[in-house]
Order: sequence, then structure tokens, then C-alpha cells
Amino acid sequence: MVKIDFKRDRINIRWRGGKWDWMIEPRYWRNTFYWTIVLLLLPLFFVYFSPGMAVTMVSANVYAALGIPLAFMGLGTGRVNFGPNFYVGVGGYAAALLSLHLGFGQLATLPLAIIITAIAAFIFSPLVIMAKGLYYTLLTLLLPLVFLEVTFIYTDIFKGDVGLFGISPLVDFGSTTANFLGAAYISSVILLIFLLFTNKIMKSRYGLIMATVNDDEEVAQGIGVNINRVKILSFIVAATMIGIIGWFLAHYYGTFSGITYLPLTFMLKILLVLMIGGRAQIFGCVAGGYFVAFLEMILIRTMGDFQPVAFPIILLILLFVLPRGEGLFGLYRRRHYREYFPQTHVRR
Amino acid sequence: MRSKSFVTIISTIAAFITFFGLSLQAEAVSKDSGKEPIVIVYVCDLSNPAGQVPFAWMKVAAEQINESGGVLGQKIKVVAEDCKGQPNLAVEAYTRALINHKATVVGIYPRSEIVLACEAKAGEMYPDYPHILLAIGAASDEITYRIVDQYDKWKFVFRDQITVSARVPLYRDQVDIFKAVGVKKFALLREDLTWTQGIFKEFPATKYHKKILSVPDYAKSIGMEVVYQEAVKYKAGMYSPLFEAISAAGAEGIIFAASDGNDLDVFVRQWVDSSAREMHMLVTGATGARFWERTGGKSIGLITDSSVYPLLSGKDTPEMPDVRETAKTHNLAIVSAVLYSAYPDMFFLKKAIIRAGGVKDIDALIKAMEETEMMGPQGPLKYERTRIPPFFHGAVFADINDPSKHAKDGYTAVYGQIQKDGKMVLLQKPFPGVDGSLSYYRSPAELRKMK
Repeated sequence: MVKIDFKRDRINIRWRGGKWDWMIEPRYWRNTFYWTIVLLLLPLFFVYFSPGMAVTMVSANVYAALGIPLAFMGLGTGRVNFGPNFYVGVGGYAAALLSLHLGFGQLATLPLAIIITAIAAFIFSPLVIMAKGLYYTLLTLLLPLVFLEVTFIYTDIFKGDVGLFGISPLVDFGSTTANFLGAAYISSVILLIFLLFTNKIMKSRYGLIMATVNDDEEVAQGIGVNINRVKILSFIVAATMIGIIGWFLAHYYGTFSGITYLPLTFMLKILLVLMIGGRAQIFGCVAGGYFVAFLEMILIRTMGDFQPVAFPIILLILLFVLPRGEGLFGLYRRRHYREYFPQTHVRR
Repeated sequence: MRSKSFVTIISTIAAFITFFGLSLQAEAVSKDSGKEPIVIVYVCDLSNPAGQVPFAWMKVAAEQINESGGVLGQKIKVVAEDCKGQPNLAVEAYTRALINHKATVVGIYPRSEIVLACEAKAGEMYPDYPHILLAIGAASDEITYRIVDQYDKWKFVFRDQITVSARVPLYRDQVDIFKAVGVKKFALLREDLTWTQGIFKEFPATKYHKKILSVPDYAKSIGMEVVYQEAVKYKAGMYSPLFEAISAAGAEGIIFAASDGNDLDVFVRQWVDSSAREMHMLVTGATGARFWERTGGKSIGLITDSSVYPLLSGKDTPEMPDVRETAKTHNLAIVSAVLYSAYPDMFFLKKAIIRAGGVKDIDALIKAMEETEMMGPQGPLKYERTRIPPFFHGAVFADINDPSKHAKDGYTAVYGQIQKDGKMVLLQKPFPGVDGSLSYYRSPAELRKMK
């Protein structure tokens, strides 16, 4: 029998042994709701005023959607993964190869890309138990670079530096504007699903256990938490989410090459998104992703030859100036401390 | 409290408008215009010479064309869209080129994965934004492979370079030169990138041509032997062990298929200090205006492709200004044929646009591109008309009936040797009136003694 209790700020739903809370107090969801509306209106705004910016928006969504699982992984494993792009490669190549060799469409490659990335993540998940600190950093840093070498060695499969092309398109409505809108909305929906999923997990009992592991593994173990299970599960789930972005990139661009996503430059951009947005803020990844993508575009269009110098300088200044660990979102968060926002615990 | 939240809301909205306003302004930079010029956008990495050099040549060509009255009364406008060498930014830049700049031609700098990413987006946008995609310098077969099967979808794609499959005549020339200078056993190296793969492999027979032997098999067929072969990591940095292994294998010469972006100065320096120093050495891409200086003169005796030197200029290229003269007056670098090919491309486009009667009808312009011919610094410049993948819409280089041979009237590349004071001596005669002979060849050891 379902039992529903109306509280001041929430509705409790109980059924058998389970209990679900549904927040009704506006401060828990109001601003999130408003920003979601803005995010969903942006593609229409861009397509009407400047369709080229819809493409920049897709990049921003991709950066943000990569930052969120990376922050999530950091929370659950208590370690910073320096090679999240490895899973972009796995998901992207899985989708590309399935599309090219078996003729699968984008919907058919998605579940398989998820499964393949999850298997790859499972294979490498013992890293979170075996290594920590500098060793973990180095090992995760090396993984995408080794994969990049593999793409060069097995050129017949991965097509080396040129990459795979002719992958089935993400959307094909027969009109440029409709395709822009389609891609922008799909990337936004993926981003929103990632936000919702991460938010729910972090607000749950499991999120509390993850935070405990993040704070102190030994204490967590002492109070009965199976820390290995938590770490491995967080690692696999986050890596699989990153793999979904690989799938998206392969179908969105219609081409996929390791040399684009596996080198350090791509990974550094994701880490910057995390740091600028706020490494302890899940919603900060969205701010970070949009800031980095649009700043880059503005600088390219306005600063000419000086842009390659200006872009890292601005980001470096922001890293020093912004509140430590809180980033851009932290500035907002400080003024809205009474509102609820999911926050990752960052081990110092 | 109320006024505090009001200020917060206003400042958030202001920040939002400023940020996206700046973005919109950045997007709209090129929208103002008087009489519409013909816009050519170059998507490239402006922090890399492979992007900077062609763009500089394109700008000078546009100036020269505009000074001489433009094209059918219209000026040419060249715009660079920086992609920082990243496919996602390249696709954004490509989109801006079509939507904001209303480009008639979009050139893309020589990185095949960038060209392919843009090509996919271009195919999507072509029905709404008809234009020409010109791959400047990129070599991959994939760029033009699909034009034959899906002509209506991809007919706007052209490539101004020799495709990978068309390089066989070059590989054969390398082996023939070695045979002519008395080499029997040699080492065959290639930089580990896709464009060099063809050197180790045979090209299977297709319905268009018979099987083409791999370089080792070709060498065997003319009584030579490849005693060592390896795909060398791009910019490997450490080559000494490689030279020792080659030396131990009993090779008398080394052929290294590499590009000018590789660390070939390091390769040459380590060759001279190794036990392979007496061997004959042929390295493609060992070019660049300052390659001689970069190696401290150690590149003496090296055989390399002549692409750094325009083979023809002046009265031999009547439809464009003298390349050497332009380089001197505008302080431009002739780094390699790939990098300055953007210059003859501009005059080729001018001729094609005149032939098509303007840029309004892109189908007519595509047809004109297919039919136009022009004499460029590396010989005749024209695009393959016969529908054979991947040669179709690529610069004519190999004979399509037998791709192991040079085309009779296409892009020409010959080999030369770096001799005293870094002077290049051609070992093959490219055109009547241009000096070149194998009799000029001297072994590296001999040249070092003369030095």
C-alpha cells in the first residue's frame, strides 16, 4: 500500500520498504527550474539570431556533460582521474565502428556504446583500489595516451590520425536549421539527464556514503562501508556517462579520431571546465562548460593571433582569482547559501 | 533584502546579456558590406605555420587579384577562421563561414581529420548553403572517396593535393633513383601516419586499374632488396638506435617517407653521427627555407623532394604572378609546395569563376572547377575529371589508367640533392628548360669531403 505524507517542504512516498522524497519547497528547485528553462530556450534564441552559436552551445553542453561525471567520479573514488577522455575514446570508437561496419544507426549504437564503455571501465576499475595519489594520477593520465598509440598501431581498424568517417549522423531532418536545433536539444537533454541523475544520487543515501569515502576511506571502512564497492561503482557509472558523450561526438561530427580526443589538450580543457565552474559544484560544470566554450569563441573572433595566448592567460587568472574549489558557481552559491545545491566533497 | 535580490537579478541578467551580446557581436563581425565581395574563408590553425603560411599567401593573392580589377568586377575577400587545430572548433568555424560570411569557397588547412569533420557538416549544410569546399594540402583518400558514388551530395568537395593512392609514382621514383646511384639493399622507413601507409602495402586491383606492387615488391622486381622496414613514430626524437639497426642489417641507403612537420632536422643530425652516415639518404619533406641552417649544414648529401622550390614561374605561369618575386616582395616563406599551394589555388579559382560567369550558380562553378586548367608553379594544375575514387576531384598527379605512373599533364614533383652551401640540385628534369640530371648526384661522403 502506498502511503503519502505531506510535510512542510516535501512529500514522502512510502511503498513496502522503500521511501521517496519529492521536494515541494521552492528553494530546493526554483533556480534550477529557471535555468533549465533558459537552457531549453537558448537553442531557439541562437538559431533565430545566429545559428553558428548553436554549434558553440553544443560544444558547451559537451564540456559540461564531461565535467559532471568527472566530478561525480572524484567524489565516489576520492581521486582525481586525469584521463576521462579515455572513455570518450572508447564510447566514440564503439559507436563509430558499429555504425561503419554493421550499419547501425545512432539509436542502435547507443546501448552498445554504453555496454562497451562500462566493460572497459570495469576492466580498469581496480585502479581505484590499487593506486592512489600520484600513481593513480599517472596511471589514468597514461590510459588515453596508450589508447592513442593503439589507434596508430592498428590503423586498419581505427584509421590512425585521419580517424573514422561516414558515421551515421546524429540527426538528419533535411534542413540545416532543424539539424542545428536537433543537435542542440539532444546535447541539452543529455546534460540535463546527467544533472538530474547526479543530483539524485548525491542527495540519496548512496551519495552520503560516497561523501564518506571521499572524506576518509579508513573511517568509512571503520563504520561498515564497503569502500571498494563504492569506488568501483562510482568509477564505472561515471566512465559510462563519459562514454555516452563519446557516442554523441561520433554521431554529431560524423567522424571520430583518437588524435582529437585522446591527447592531453582535450583532457586539460575538461579539467579547466571543472576548475573554472567549481570542482566542488555539480552545477558549476554547466557554468564552466558555457564559460570556456563561449570565451574561446569570443577570443577567436575578436583577438586574432593573440587568442592562443589570451585564452590560457584568462583561464589561469580565473583559477587564481576565483574562490578555491568553488569556481564561478561558488560566487553565486555564496550569495544563495540558503538554497540547496548538490556539492561534492573535495579531499584536500 | 528585496533591493538586494533585485540588484542580484539585474546583475545576473546584465552579465548574461553582455556575455551572449559579445558572442553575437563576434558572430556578426563580417556581416557589414557594401558591394558584395566574393568571400573565401580559410579554416585553419593560426598558431601553426601550416595555417599561417597558406593564409598569408591567400591574402597576397586576393590583393593582387583585386588590384587588377577583381573577378568580373567583384572583389575577393579572404577571411581566416581559427580552429586551433580542433575538429569541434573547425566545425563551428565552418558553420560561421557559411552562415555569417556567406562564403563561396571554404578552404581547410592540411589536416585530414579536420577536413573530414568539416566535410560531414558541409554535406549537411550544402543544400541550404551551396559552396565549394577546397581541402588545401590534405592528402587522405577519404576526402574524395565518396564523390563518385554520391556525386550530387559531395560534388562540391575538391582537394588541391596528391592523394595517398596517387603517390605510388613518387615511391617508384625514390627506388629508381637509388638503383641509379648503385644501391642494392636499402632500409625503408615511413612516419607512422596514414598518408605514408601506401609505401609498405600493395594497392589491390580495382575495376579501374590492376594491382599495384608495394615498394618492397617493386624493389624486388628490379633486383633490389629492402633489408629493413619500419613505421617510425611521428616526431620520435631518438633515431640513433634505428640507424644502428639499419647499419647492422647491411643497408646501403635509407628512404624515409616523412612530412615537413616531422623533426627531420633531429633525424638528419643523428644520421650524421651514426654508423649509417656513409649511406645514401632520401628523406621526403626535408624541406623548409631554413632546413639547411636548422641542421647546421649536416643535411649535405640528402636527397629530398623538390616541393620547396617552385619549378616554374614568370612567363611559364602566365595566369598568375611570379611566385619567387611575390615571395620576395611580400616577405613570404616558400616552405613547401603544400603550404604555398593556396596561392595558385586563388588564381585557379579566379579563372574558374570567370568561366562559370560568377558565383551565383554553384553548380556552374563546380563544372567550371572540373574543366579549368592552369599552369602553376608545380606544372599543370587541374582537377581529375574521370570518376575514379579517390582521384576524382583531386589535383591530377598519377595516371588514372595505371596509378603507378605519372600523369602526362599534371602536378609535377621531382627529387633533388642538397649540396654545397645548402643549394638544391635537381636529379630529375621536370620540364624542358628546367635543369635537372642524375649525373649531378654525389654521395654524402663525397660531398662532406668537398665541404
